[in-house]
Amino acid sequence: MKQFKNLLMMAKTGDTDAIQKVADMYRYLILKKSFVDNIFDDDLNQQLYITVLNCVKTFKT
Amino acid sequence: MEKQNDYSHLTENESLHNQFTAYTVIAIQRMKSRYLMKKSKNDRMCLSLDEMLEDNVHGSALTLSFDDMEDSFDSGISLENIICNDMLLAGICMLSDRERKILNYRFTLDMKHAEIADSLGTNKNAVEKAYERLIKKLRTHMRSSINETV
Repeated sequence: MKQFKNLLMMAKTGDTDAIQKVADMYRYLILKKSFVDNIFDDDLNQQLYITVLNCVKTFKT
Repeated sequence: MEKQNDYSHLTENESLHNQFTAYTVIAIQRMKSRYLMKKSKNDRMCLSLDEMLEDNVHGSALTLSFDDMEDSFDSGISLENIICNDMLLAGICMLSDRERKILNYRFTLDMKHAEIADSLGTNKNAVEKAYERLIKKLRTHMRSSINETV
């Protein structure tokens, strides 16, 4: 597995593949959190993906 | 026996991964709670508008446009229309629009600081500070006007 630090750095610089990989890492967490009263909320799902992308941007290594 | 957390066996890469995961999980939880709060507030707003519509079913209010209804919703229960004390009213008129909005939200709509912050697009601390400041302003205004009359 590729070093996570490198992956994060690449994602920070805007590499779409790296961003995709980081987002994929958290897809199950996002999926789990996207349910409101046992109903899948598409808007919330989108918001949570955006949150992960923001985290990539704002996380200080 | 006391359980000790020993993370020394983790490599730098693994610990960075853990840190990032913790950061992301917290951000996701916060976003979800913020989203749910916003959603519930919107639902409440829709419900109250629906109730207004139902109340006016037999009248001519159905011809009102959505904007008109929103205006009546805003102005109908504003503090300025409720308060009978002239001194207090004068004090409220002295406040800025934003402060008056905060007062309205707090007392007529009975919203919490966090909800007010959400609707004004600021954070909770700013609303709390503004609220304290405006109460102080009102208090000093009331005191000074009472002293003038005595």
